[in-house]
Amino acid sequence: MSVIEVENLSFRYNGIDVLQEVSFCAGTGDYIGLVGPNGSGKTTLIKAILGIAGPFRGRVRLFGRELRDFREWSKIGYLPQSLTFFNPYFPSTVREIVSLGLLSRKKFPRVLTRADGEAIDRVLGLLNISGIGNSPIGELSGGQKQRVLIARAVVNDPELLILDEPTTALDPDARELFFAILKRLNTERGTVMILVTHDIGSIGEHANKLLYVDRRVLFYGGFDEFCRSERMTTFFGSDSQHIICHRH
Amino acid sequence: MEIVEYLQYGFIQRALLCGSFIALLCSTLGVLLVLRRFSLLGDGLAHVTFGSVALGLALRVYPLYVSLPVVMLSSVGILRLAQKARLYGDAAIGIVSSFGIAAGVILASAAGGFNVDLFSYLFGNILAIGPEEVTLSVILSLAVLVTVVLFFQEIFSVTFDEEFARASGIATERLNVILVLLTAVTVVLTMNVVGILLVTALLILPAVTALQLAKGFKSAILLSAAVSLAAVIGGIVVSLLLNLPTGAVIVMTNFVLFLVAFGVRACRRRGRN
Repeated sequence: MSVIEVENLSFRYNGIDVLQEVSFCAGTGDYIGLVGPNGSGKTTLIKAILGIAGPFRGRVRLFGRELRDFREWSKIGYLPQSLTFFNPYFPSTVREIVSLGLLSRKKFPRVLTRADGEAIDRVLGLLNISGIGNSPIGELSGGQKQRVLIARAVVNDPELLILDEPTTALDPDARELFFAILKRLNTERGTVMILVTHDIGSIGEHANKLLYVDRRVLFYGGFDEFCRSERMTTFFGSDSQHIICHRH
Repeated sequence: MEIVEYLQYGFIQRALLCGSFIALLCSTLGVLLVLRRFSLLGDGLAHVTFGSVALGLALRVYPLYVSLPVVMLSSVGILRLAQKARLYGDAAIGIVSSFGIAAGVILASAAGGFNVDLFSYLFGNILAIGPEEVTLSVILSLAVLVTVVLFFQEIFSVTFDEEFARASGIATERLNVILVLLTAVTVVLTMNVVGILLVTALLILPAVTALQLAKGFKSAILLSAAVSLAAVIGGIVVSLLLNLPTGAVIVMTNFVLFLVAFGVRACRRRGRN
């Protein structure tokens, strides 16, 4: 089943073409590494898919529905590239923050139940942060905060998980744990992943598809295809291609 | 006169009732505004209120009836300016508030200069509130508080991370409009309690006091409400006992509570280190 369909998506901001005619599809089981240089439009692309950035030209369909008609937000988990926005004085406990990930499945008035509390306990355990559930978010380290935001993104058991540079603040152990969780979600539940990353050296280790964007789609497909493609060798140079492919 | 004797007077009962509701109102919205770095919205709208009161006095219409729609429109104007005119929120507030004050001065001048009525709105007099104003304040306060309770989770989500809230299907733009409209209603109601010049104090001080001590979002709002109630009731009592202007004493009580909370936080930190 097609989870995301993007067709000829173009987006202009301040007179600059940030995205040009971007098209790709993703279906159950896809684990897409979204890569590209700084300013290439990666974050804008995922924001457009989520309806956060706009207006844009082109078409986005989620779970078979046009974006403007899409209402099943509980099927989507999202981790913004936003560790820097953190206000250290924001009064909120870890549990309160993680509970925000459950709101999309609720109807007005959105009241949290005991089952929601249990879901929060489970995800905190999954990410090895049960011990800090009642800690204020402002007192945590960067890595802990990032784990809390990851917990918020996955607490809802999403069918599509979009993560914008999720491992930036994580230490190697936490990073390994994080990728193991993503792998499990992807293989056991078929959760579709879109992982925006600058870590092109290790993306081949985790993802099964590569979406290389530099304002337009330069490549979209499997790693085997990318690594064997002479066109890509010509385009990126053999060194860059090797960096992406050597751990696949 | 003993404080118990004071409590038998209708005007004191009205002041305590109206002040308590407005305290709850300001403290709740204050936390949201401070955390969204929109704390000066109240101040900007207070300036607009000044202009609208002058307009009401010039038109010989009860100022509240003019202020409420004008300030509500201005609050949405500030929001739209910040969104559409590529302005930071504080600059948008600055534009609208300076327009409001200039309009007020021109209107007051055209109507024959500043008069006692206008000054009474600048500094407020909670002890002079009539039964109709109490009823209006209680009804509007309840309406605002019920709105905040019903949309609590959405408001929390938008306040913490607007982008994530939008990706959760929350109508963030609508919530932003609701928040500024609630602030507008609050500012207009509060002008009778502490006056236009001191409205900001009731919005900001209880919130920042609570933020010194609270660990969670809900606890911050509850603590802010408790601080604000204590300051309003304490301020009214102290002002009666010492025969001082009530609005100013409420603000000073809030300030003292802030200093206490600041001290407690500093001691806690020192204890941890």
